[in-house]
Amino acid sequence: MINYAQALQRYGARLQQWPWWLWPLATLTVLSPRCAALRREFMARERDWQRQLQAGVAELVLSRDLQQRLAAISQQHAQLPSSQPSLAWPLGLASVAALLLGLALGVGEVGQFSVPGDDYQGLAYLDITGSRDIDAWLEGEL
Amino acid sequence: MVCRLLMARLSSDATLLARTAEGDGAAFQQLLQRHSQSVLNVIYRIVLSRADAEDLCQEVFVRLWKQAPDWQDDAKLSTWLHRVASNLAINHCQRFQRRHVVDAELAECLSEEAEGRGDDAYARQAEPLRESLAQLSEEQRAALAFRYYRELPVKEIAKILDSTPKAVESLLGRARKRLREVLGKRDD
Repeated sequence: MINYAQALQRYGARLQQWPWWLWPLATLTVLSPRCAALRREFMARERDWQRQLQAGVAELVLSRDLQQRLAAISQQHAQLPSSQPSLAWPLGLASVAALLLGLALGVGEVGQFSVPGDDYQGLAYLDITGSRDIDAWLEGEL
Repeated sequence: MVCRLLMARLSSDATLLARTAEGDGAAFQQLLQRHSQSVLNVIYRIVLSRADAEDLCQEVFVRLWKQAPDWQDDAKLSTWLHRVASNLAINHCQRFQRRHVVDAELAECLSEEAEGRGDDAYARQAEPLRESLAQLSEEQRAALAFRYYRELPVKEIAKILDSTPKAVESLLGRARKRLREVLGKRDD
C-alpha cells in the first residue's frame, strides 16, 4: 500500500501525472493541510535540486559541426531493411495450401463415389419418380 | 507555405517516424530539430564531456535513421531516444573508466565545460558541482538528468532505464545523499 509521501516521490508533485487509481490520495492534497504542506515541501526541495543542478551544468546548444553531422546522417547511412515478418506472405501461403488441400480431398471423394460405376445400374432399379407404379395402375385399369 | 509550415509543426512523432521509415530525409530532419538538443543535454549530464556527448548524440540518431524501417517499439519516440541515449552514455562511461583509471585524466576531461559561455566566473561556480557529479555512478547521473533536467516522473525514468520505480527512487535517493555529502564536504 502506497502512502501520500511515497506517491509524491514516485509520481511527482503534478497530480495529473498520478495514476487514476490514486485519486483518493490525490484528494488529500486539498483535504489535508498536512498533505498540502508535505507537497509544498517536496516541491521546494525538488526546485532546489533542479536549480542547483541546472546552474551547475550548462545547457548545451548544438554546435554547427554537430548540426552538420546530424544533417548528413540520412545521406551517409543506409537504412536497414525491415526484418518484420510480412503478413501478406503467410496469408497467401495459407490460401494456396487450403486450395490444394481442398482439391486433393475433392478428387479423392469423387473417385470414391464415382457415378459411372456398378452402383449406377443399381440406381436404375430405384423407382425414384414412381413411374412403375403408374404403369402398373394403368395396366390394371386396362 | 504557411499551411505547410503549420502542418509540419503539427505532425506527430509517429507520423514523422513513419515517413522516416520510408526514407524521407525531410521528416528525419524534423525529428532532429525536435529532439537533438534534449538528447545531447541528457547525454552530456551523464558523460560530462561535450565532445563525447556530441559523438554519442550522433550515434543515437544514426541508430534511429537505420532502425526506422524496423520500428517495433510501442513506446514514445522520446522514451526510445532517452533509453538509447542513456544506454550509450552509461556504456561509454564504463568503457572510459576501464581505460582511464587515473583520476587526473578524468578531471582533465571534465574540465572542458562552459565552453559556449566563455564565462570564468560561471566555470568557477560550476566546477565543484561538476566534480561532485563526476563522483556519482553513471546510473545515478542518468537518473538525476532525467529527474531534474528533463523533469520526468520516476515511473517514466524507470521505463527508460529498464528498471522499477522503486529502484529509481532508491537510485535518486542515493545520488542526492552522495551529492549532499560531497558538496557539504567542500563547504567545510
